Amino acid sequence: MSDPGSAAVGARRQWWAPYLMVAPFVAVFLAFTVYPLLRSLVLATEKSAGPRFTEFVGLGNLAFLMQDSLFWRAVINTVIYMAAFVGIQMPIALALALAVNQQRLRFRSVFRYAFFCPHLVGTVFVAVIFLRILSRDGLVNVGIGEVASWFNLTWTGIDWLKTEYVALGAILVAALWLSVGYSMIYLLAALQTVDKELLEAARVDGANAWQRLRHVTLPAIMPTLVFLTLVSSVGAMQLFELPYLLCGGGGPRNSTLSIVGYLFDQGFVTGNLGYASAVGWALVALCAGLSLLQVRRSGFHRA
Amino acid sequence: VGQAGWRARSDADGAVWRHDGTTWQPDPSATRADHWRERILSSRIAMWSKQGRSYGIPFDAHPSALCWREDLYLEAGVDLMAVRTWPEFQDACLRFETYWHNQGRPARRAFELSTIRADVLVNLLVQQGVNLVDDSGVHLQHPRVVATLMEYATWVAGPRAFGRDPAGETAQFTAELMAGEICAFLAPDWRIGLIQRNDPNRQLQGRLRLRPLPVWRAGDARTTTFGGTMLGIMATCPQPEAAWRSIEDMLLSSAAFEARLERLGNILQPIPERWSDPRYHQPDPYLSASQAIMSLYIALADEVPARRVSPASALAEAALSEALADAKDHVRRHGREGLEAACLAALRRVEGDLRRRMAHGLFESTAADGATP
Repeated sequence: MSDPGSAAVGARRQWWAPYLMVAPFVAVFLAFTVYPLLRSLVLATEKSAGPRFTEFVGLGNLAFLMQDSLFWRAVINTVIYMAAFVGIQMPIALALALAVNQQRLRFRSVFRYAFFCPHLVGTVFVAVIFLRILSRDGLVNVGIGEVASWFNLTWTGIDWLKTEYVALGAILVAALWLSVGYSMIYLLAALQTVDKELLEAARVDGANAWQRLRHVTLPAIMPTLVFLTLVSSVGAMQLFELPYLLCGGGGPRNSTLSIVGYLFDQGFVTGNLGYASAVGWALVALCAGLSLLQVRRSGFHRA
Repeated sequence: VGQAGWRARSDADGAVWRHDGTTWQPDPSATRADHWRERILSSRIAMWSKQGRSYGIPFDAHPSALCWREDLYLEAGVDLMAVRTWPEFQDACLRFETYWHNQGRPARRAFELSTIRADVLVNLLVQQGVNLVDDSGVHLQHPRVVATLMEYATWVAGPRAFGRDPAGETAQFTAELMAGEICAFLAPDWRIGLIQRNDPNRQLQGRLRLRPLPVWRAGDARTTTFGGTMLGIMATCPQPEAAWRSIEDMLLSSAAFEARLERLGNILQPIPERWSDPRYHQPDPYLSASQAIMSLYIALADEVPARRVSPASALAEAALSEALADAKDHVRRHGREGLEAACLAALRRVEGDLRRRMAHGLFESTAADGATP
């Protein structure tokens, strides 16, 4: 039998063991997350020409940001894109998930993979494809021209990615193609957790397909829908790669300039890392506000 | 690092020697930097200089020429060698596109242009010796900027528009060139080499031709320049003399010249006394009639205009892109009627915004003495 006194002494001697075990994580977290965050907060109060030449300006960057027309253009573009992206993506993803969840659908696995695979190839690959499809001599214009010729009409084609009022829409189409499958997979998983007995009971009670969807399925998958809406919104607010690859950044008359694109221009083209950092924190504030709003509107925070 | 035949040389310790025709004499008044400043193409040093101070040793001369698919232009009956000015070039391109449109090839475009960004427009301004921003200030409302913007707007909008943007970077562009979708482009020395690298089967061999650029008016340079690399010594460098020696060894010495000629022969080095090397003047079968590519670039190199670079350069180009969008809208709606006033108004507007941005980026500690970090 061991001596309880010596066990207590051993425990006291090893009080530091848990700290030692979490220390590597804490060190990495402090070095690569907390410090950069704090440093970027400090940087937002400076103007800079490269990393070594800085000058304190206090709230000067924020004041300039408030009356910077390009920044507000980027905000408007990004918010429009985000609203359209989430508003279109979720219904399409849900419809696809419902379709490929049907037991009687043949080749369900093939369809699931087909819808999901654009997400696997990544943004650059999708951008290369859409560059070709949406160019003036690309597939879309050729297709429209062909259809127009059936009605004796002439379609001269437009450069979708270089025309002011359609470029953002073209980017949206590429983004949807890229990401609908990803949301579909989440919703499919959620649909498969819906209580089948509940659905059967609703059917027995005379509920039609729409009523079963509205009153049984949607409430059951609501947590997943809220999660996906939140993740998609924040992802859309961070729009950068597609405009950069498809339109070279701001696009025609800055119609595809996004907040992150503007941040990139300020930080890495103009070299003012301080102002870029201020833009970054403005984006953080926007994303936080948006997320809070969405969670509150959905009532999910009470669950 | 010096060698006989040069007018001057610098030793490893930085001492400068000059050759008086008979012997080498030390020149205690000259620094290593002075010595190289005399020997390197001044317009390329200017690119990396601000308010009289140079911040880097240029790697290249980068003159630009006009390159085109001679086979397709000749088939269309358009002789680009006869073109003298940019307006004549526009006429030639329109004749080219009309011919191919009538042949059922409407997608065949005469020239690579930027329809949204002002990068080509900036190159055309640099050709005329106009930099949007330089030590003396902002020049967005310069008469040549207005005139060139007006002309360029008619290149990319309205009934006399021609050319188009490339669908991608070099590989994509080379594919378009091979397919005859874009048939002419501004070609700095580095670009021909990249095209050759992206054409491993030499499909374009014998089909391309080079010539000096058309001009806007008599006296303009027949070339412009874009792109460039430099080697600099950081202000915090603990051993600037050692850094200087490294730069001389790696970039400026005879050994470096030989190595670079071997590996990057398509990039003209910015030291004129070396341009007489016969290897620069070999005929190249890749071009039509085995044109000697580097001979043409060397003939243009003395005319390379100074292109100024500063953090505001990108802002100024973005501002000009905004003005170009306004000018294009005007051309689409009203043609050339009132175009000058529209361009001036657009340039005035974007210049105001540019000045505000530049003022925001200016450092208090350096604004007073006019220096820059």
